[in-house]
Amino acid sequence: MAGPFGAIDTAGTGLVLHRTWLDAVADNIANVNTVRPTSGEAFRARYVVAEAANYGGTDGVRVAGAEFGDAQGRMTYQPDSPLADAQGYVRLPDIDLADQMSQLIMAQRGYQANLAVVERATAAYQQAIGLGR
Amino acid sequence: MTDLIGDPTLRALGHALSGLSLRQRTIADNVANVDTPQFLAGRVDFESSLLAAISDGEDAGDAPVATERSMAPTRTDGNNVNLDEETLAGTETGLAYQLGVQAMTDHFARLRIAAGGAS
Repeated sequence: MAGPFGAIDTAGTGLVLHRTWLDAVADNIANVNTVRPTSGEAFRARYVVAEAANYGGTDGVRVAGAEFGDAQGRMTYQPDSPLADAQGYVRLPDIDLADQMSQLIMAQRGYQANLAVVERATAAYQQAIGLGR
Repeated sequence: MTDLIGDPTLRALGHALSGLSLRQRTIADNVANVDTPQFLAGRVDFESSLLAAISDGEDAGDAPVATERSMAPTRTDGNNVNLDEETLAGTETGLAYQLGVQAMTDHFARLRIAAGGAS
């Protein structure tokens, strides 16, 4: 059950989710050129999974977990790299930068939308607090 | 005169305010779930039952509040939250809430005059 200022709590869960998503995208983009030897896994992109906290209620959203990208990555010929194997290959992460950038925009817009709800709910609750004055 | 403080006007206004408050929470829930797969937007309707209760002279405080899921077409991820719609509904709900609070404040002011208290 939501507290006395329920709408703010609910929008807060949206803020948390979208912030988490932003963090994940930022991490993915930061590691877009991370080189790994072919003996190990490539850097795996992180995808945040959203889930309604209480579908049918008004408890907002929660982070259900994370999915990870392909561990194979992209085998790339980089014989100069100190991490290259005998054939001259290394593993680069299988991350599409365009996809990450569009996710970044979606996460940012979602964050902004939730922030707008917080501001609107605050105004309404302030009205209610002044009731009867 | 049955009850000066819990009169029908206040009952109706109070019911409208709690309905609007629930709608605001539902909008917050919809916006929080704007990127949740398979999420259908929630809708709150209290106006029709409130109107019926008032016109039938029943106690407005007992009018039922209906919550349901939007049947609007979904995106490819099975989600049908429309951010424009929610923003619009949020603004409208906020203004309606202000109006309700104002009406209640005015009502209290009249009660205060009736009770003989200074403004």
